[in-house]
Amino acid sequence: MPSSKLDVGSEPMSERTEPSDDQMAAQFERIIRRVKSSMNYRGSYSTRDILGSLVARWLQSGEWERLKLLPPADRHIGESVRRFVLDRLEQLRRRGAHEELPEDLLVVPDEGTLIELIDAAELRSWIEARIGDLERGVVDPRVRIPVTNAAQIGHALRLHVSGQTQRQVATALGISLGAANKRIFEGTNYLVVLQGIESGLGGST
Amino acid sequence: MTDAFIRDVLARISARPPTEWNKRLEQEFPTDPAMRMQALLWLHSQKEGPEAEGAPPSLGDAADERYELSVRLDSGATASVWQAFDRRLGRNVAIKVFHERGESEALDQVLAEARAASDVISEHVVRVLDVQYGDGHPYMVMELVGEYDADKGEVALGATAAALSPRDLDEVARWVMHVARGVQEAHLRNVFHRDLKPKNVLITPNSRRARVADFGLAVSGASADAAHPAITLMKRGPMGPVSVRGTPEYMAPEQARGLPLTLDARATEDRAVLVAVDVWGLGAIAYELVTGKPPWLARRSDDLSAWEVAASTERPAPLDRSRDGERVSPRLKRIIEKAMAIDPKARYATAAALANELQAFLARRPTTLDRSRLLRIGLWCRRNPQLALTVLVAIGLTGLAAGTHSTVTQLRAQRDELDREVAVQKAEETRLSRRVKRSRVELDETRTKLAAERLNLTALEKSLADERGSYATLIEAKERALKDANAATRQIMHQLEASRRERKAAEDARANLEKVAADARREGEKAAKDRDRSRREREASRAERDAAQRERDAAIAEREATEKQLTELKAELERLASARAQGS
Repeated sequence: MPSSKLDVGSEPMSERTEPSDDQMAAQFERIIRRVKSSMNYRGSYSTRDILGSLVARWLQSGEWERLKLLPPADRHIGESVRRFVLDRLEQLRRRGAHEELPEDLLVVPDEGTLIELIDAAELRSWIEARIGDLERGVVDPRVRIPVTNAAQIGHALRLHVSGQTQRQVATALGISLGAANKRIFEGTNYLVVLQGIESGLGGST
Repeated sequence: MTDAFIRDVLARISARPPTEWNKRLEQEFPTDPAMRMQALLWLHSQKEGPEAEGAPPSLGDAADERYELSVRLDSGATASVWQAFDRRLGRNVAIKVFHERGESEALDQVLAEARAASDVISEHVVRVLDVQYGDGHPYMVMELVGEYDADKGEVALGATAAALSPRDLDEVARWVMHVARGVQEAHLRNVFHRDLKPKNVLITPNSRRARVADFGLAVSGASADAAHPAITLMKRGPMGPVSVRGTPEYMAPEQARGLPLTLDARATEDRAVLVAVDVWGLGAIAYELVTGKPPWLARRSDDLSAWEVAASTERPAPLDRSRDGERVSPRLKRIIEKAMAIDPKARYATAAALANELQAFLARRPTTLDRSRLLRIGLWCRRNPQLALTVLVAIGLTGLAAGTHSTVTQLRAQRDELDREVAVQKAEETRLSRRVKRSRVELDETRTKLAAERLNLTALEKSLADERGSYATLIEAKERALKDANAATRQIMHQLEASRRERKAAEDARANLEKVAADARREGEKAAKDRDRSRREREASRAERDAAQRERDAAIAEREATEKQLTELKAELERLASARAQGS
């Protein structure tokens, strides 16, 4: 589960020193911002988004799962991503009539930035999977905040993350704007709570 | 703990200030820290950020006092747009609220966008009125695109071109022309949009005029990418380090492959690159408004994202049919295709050139691409229908006069021709009457021959009838013989079948006998084997008996020997006893 950016770790809260209110608030804010910004549809892309999408593809290739088994010093994430992106660009270059795509060196960002991109891609894919669960009516049993009509919430979230406005979601589902807002709102809160649990917050009694 | 109880607790606590939440939760769930943690997360998530459709985000104390945010109009990755009321000036405005607060990158973006957009004054560009960032979310105040509706007594809001369907292709051309005029104004101020798409075009509700908005990715003389470099994706490519910005579905191919980081919006060569990107964007807007689809779409079959399709220099799907299935006017198609030429140099050199072309299209005047003389005449006629009609009548009258003279001459020539044909026909008639007479004589001769032939034929038919009678008798006799032969054959077949059945029964009986014989043979063999086995058992028991006899004989012999020894021993003892008695 994507929690590499979070310094909370995966130990249960009872086994650690209780963080201060400020630390707790900062952790909450980080989790909430990460989840909500991942759910926002990116209409306009920057280079970072493009690279993010390539990193997401790299992630899907299974390379990251392989590297995670290695000691951190032996992972060489930058080189792996660079090779993968170069291969992908090479494939694209062969598709077109033009030969203008770069063949030379590819500079990828430093490892810290790459970890951020990997983290974001993992989170996005985690969110997609959890929305899929909701669509099938599956609620994670660890979440104790009640979620009613999981499938309806899942459908609303699916449209929301694909870039539709609340009004469009309401029209597509044939419900009122208020009902659409409520479903998106409840679904987002559920994902935040579940992500908190994945990060080691509130997962045990 | 029921769901209703948890909901009730959360509802009550969320109404309290956040500083009290922890304490209240400890009271409600004193022995359940995990539940407290989940509830806290839920409460914070509920209050945090403008993404949730709860209360509008805070712009800071002063701004919150001035602007009353009411309806969220749109939301994206970096910001959301709200309708708001400016209490100080008593007017409606649109406010773009950025999600990030207090981060330099976000503030830079707000400022860059505001500067770029505010520098452009055009009736086709949404005006930026103010920009602020303080203790709340950074925000930008913009003109609200709407029109007063006198019937309803309220302001009707505009909508994005993406959310509307144009009434016809003329409306598409008109909207894109408006946007092109606005973009041209921006270019004159060295501002290049780079993210033109239907979603960034707002249409007024009544007059249906288009205005371009969202200069979030604009590059201007004051803010080039190099000032805030994006991640360098490629190095030492054909153009050096590049950055990719825009919306993948609408990107120009060269934009998708990356534009140099060092583009200077004031340098002539770099301006041409940026103008070409925006001209493509204008074409892309027209393309989607006509077809209902953006030029580039992700392809699941090839596992390609929209950006990758754009970067691979494929061509967008042909622009043949509109979203309603109608044939697209070839004139408009040519204009859009030129705006979206893969080679940037083949596109319109300026946004104004494209706007002028669209204006010509709408006014039914020839564009620079309408080279056909017939098309130009047709367009002129459509533009000047009365004049065209007058010219047509004048041409008609002149033609009529010229036509009459020509007709008389032609009629005379035709009459002479007819006279010549009559003379030829008469000569032919004479020749034919002679041939008819000759044919009649030949016909009489033929009739005589035919009568003689008919007599011969009658005699022949009579003899044939006689022969037919004798042949019929013969055939009847042959048929009877054949019938008898068939009956005999059937009888033989029956006999054969019976003998086949008998043979089969005999074979079955023989097989049964063989089986019985085999069984008897097997029984005999088995009895012989049993006999052998009992004989072997008898021999074995006999051997055992002999051995026992031998053992018994041996035992008897041994006992006799022992008795003999005992007898000797007794004798010896007696002898010894007598000797002892003599001794004593």
